[in-house]
Amino acid sequence: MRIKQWISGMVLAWCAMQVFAVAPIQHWQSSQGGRVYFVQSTGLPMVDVRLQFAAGSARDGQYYGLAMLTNRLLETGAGVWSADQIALRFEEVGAQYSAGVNQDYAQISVRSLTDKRLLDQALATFQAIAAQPQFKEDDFQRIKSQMLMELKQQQERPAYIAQQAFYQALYGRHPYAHLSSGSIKAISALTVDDVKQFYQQYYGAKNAVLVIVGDLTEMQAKHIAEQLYAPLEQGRVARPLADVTLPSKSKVKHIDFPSTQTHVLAGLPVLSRIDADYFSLYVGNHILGGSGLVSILFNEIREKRGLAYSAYSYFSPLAKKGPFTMGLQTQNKQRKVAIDVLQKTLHDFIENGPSDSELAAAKKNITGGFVLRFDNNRKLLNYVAMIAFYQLPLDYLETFQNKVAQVSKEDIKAAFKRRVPENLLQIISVGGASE
Amino acid sequence: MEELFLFEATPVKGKSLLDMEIALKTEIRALQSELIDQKELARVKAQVLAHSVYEQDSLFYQAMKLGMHETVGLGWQTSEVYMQKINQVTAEQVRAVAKKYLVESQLSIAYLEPQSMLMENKMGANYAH
Repeated sequence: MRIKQWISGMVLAWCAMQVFAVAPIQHWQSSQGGRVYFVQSTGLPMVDVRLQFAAGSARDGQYYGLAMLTNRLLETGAGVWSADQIALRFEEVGAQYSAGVNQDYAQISVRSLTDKRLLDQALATFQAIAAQPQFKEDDFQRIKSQMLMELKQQQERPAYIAQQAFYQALYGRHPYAHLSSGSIKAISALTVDDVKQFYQQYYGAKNAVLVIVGDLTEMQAKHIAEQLYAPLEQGRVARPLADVTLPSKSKVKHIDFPSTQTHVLAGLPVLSRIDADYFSLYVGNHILGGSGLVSILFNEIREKRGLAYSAYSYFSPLAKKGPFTMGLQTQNKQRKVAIDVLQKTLHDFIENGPSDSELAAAKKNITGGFVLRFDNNRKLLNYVAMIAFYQLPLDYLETFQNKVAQVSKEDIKAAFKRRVPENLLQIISVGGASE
Repeated sequence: MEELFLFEATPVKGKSLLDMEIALKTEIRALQSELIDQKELARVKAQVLAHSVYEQDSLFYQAMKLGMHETVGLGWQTSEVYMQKINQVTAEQVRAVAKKYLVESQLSIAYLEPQSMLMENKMGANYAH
């Protein structure tokens, strides 16, 4: 294992940052047709590998929670190894395994040193998890009760209840309407066969992207890609999700909950990953509620009126229209005032757009801090996985700052007017009585 | 650089804090009297080395580590030889330091015992949500 001089290490890291700014993502298909994305990052003798499948909770069907249960069950027994043996095999070589699910995808990842002996063992284990999960009944029951217990705990959190109701209000019958953590009723009814079937359907090579970021040569990355894709079933590409239809009318719903603070969420389905208005909406929201202590929302809600400690808004872009969310917490008795201010702030922004100075400051903030968003391998892996999974242009990171710079005040105003119809706004609050 | 060497454990249902303390001390005594096997030593080394590489995946942490070593007088170069030194550690050395430092006369023990349910509920009610 080699370690570089500290000073030159720092210089290298700085150079690497400059290289990241042009992010040379190498892309190819494995001999089996699996998509591979590789970024060479030579600063440290380590590598991150991620397999990401179109197997998120939007594929749950009626079985809310199935995608997450399947994803969590993978590491509890695979190949010839039990859950404990798998954990030990990773531990022995200092490798770290992780997995996760959102609406669109399920992913499994491993981080390892590049020393051949260590990396080989980490990858052999990872490969078994991806391609030969055992799905044993007792492991299934254990993970199932874990998820049920977590869900029961979540019922005691107003933030969770608000989010659940918010997604339901925004998405109605669309598969984005339930949270990835599922529901108690649906999970209780799941069997291990449901998991096996879900795995069969969605964990195939054709439904995956493989992302590799680290200190490897292209040859090594190619070899790893072949090794990981070979044992996977071909499978098939998951069908595209249905388009999202906007709610037919606005909604204001309050859920009583014994808490002193009321959680408020307001929003609509708006932004997809590939969206003509992406940058106008993104930059606009940065000004409206995305920039923390200096956003318009924060100023109106907290600075001017002291209604809450924080107020924010953000877009969560997904394969189909992901939510635009405005949120705050306030004292129960101030709920109605706070909701009024939230709505008025949005209305004024849609009518007037940002000021010239607000726009200039936002652009400076976004482009100035941009390089810090992927100044290490972990963050870079997340970006490359996003680009790979949603098939964004490979020069996404290179062109990002320029696209931000091109956004005009008129673009923002027009995009918000067209895409955020305030007369359809869905408003959810969870908390104690306002009197 | 830390001053303290900590052992921490939570007993499963049916076991007392004293059971736990005895179990921990038994492990420590084993470390002082027996040699750890090579496989275990190799496993721990791999983990320590991996961790020291992974934590450098952050410019902030790289800077902090250099600064930390320099501030306490070890010199920033310490980071360079860290891996090399870890690799040289033997089972005999582990046993020797366990004997030298993990001594009863320097031991402090803290028990954290849960209060009754009644107390807990009351605390929960006063907690600001």
